[in-house]
Amino acid sequence: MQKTTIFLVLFIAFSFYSFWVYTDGTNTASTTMSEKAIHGKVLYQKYNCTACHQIYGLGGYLGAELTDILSKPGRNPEFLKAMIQSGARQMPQYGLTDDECDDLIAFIQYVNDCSPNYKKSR
Amino acid sequence: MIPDFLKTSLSFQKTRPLHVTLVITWIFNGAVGGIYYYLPQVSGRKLYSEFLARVHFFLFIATGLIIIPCYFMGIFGGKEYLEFPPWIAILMLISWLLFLFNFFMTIPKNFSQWKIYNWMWATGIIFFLITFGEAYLWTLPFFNNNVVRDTTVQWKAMGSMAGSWNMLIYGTAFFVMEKISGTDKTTTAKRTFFFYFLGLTNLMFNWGHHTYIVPASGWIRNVAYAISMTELLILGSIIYSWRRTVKDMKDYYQNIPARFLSAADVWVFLNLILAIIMSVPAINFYTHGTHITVAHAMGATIGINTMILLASIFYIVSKEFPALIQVHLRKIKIGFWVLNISLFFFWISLIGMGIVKAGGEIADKDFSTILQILEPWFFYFSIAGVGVFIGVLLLVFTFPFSTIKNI
Ligand code: HEC
Repeated sequence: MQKTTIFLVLFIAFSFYSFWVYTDGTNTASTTMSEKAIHGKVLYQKYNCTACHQIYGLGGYLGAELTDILSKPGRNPEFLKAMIQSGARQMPQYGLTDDECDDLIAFIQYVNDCSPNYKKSR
Repeated sequence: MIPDFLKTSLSFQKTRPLHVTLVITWIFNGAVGGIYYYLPQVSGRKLYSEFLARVHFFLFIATGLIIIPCYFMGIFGGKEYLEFPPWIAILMLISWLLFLFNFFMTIPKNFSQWKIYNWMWATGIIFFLITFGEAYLWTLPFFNNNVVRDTTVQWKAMGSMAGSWNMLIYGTAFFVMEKISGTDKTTTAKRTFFFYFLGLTNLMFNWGHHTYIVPASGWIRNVAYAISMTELLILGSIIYSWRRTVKDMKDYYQNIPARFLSAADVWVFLNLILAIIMSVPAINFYTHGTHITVAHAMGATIGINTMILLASIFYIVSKEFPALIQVHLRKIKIGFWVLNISLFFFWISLIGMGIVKAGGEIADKDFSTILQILEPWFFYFSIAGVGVFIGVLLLVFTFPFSTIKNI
């Protein structure tokens, strides 16, 4: 009986905590996602970019962390577009259309805008 | 040197989910299969429905037969670790519900009598269901259209999901331990339950160390940090009982399942130290998103979980086919050492890569420069990986495949 009680108490705490995380805890994104960015995210999943690239550390480690890539020196949407269209070394060439590329970059731009201090607040 | 067609047909974005899926499948099946086998024994009655178990099995095979070609053809659409098109998740959900139903219908519901493994299995089964659902919250725009929420919830789901199958597997470890030692002193002890609840608390709240770099509210980090410090208690307890562990190892050294359990103990120890170091925010900042995270995952999946599952499988083999272990004893022993030693180097090389990469990032080196520095490490890593593979093969070839068709 006692063990069941401990379990239930923990379970209830977990439920409340989860709810909090889903709402207040993650209400912090500073920008809203545009339609293009939403579509870009779909493409990001469709082409499994996550196998090699990370967003907030989530993803494979063969390619670069993309979270704040657009804030790095020498990087801009044109550079990224060229890279995504042509591929490079282990970065595959997907043969994406112009629109697809733009949407992917809109997504990467959105993530970048949500994370102004990414890895800088060390 | 790799031919071009191979490069595109087996490129990394396809092989990574493939091998991750295969490893997870092995862990999952090893654990679930073991529970199906042990459950009647634990409950003192037959499985509630053999038929549903069979349906579960065939659904599982069918799911695999859909997912693997998808990966080969580059059909994705999911998220990390669950890269397959999201509708396939429905099949998995049905499988799991069948398992859950069968489990709870079979096991007697006299909770106060439940031993530790009943609790752990029940917890694992329930929380897998919860976290699996959570991992698909992104299909709702409320989660999907906010990258902070989306990533946080995904880390949350994945972190707790790993915790849930650890419950399944550690429960199995306790069961096998009880059978080998012939006493239920540990599996009913207050101390064991204390650590079970501590583990459950960690499963629920300790996923946050994955999210130190996500710009969510600070309190998520603080909760995770506070909870992760309880891991020190677990570490302390392991060190405290170290002498007993060593004594047990000596006593049971000739018992193959026990030997794998001892190896799991060592891996728990190594991985816990790594986990604790990684959950210090200042360190996590640098190590996150490096191979150190992979080292942690590999140490847990191959080191701890695989050792426990091998213990469980060799235990079942020794019950069902006692002669077989004797026949293959030498091969098993060699396999044991090859696997563990290679895995150790595999683990170390990943940590090495992580440190190199973090160092490169601190020095603000270009990503391609970092890749170059990493090259020799990839080499050590591959050699160790081959060793792990050989070790696994040595062990796998002792399984009584010829008898499987009789089951
Ligand atoms: C097989 C692994 C792999 C996959 C899959 C992959 N990439 Fe890459 N990507 C790389 C590698 C490796 C580099 C670095 C190439 C270099 O610097 O020579 C890279 C570079 C990039 C860059 C430039 C980064 C910089 O430093 O500016 C962008 C942007 C990018 N990838 C986006 C994507 C997108 C979008 C997708 C999915 C459509 C994707 N990648 C899929 C491996 C991959």
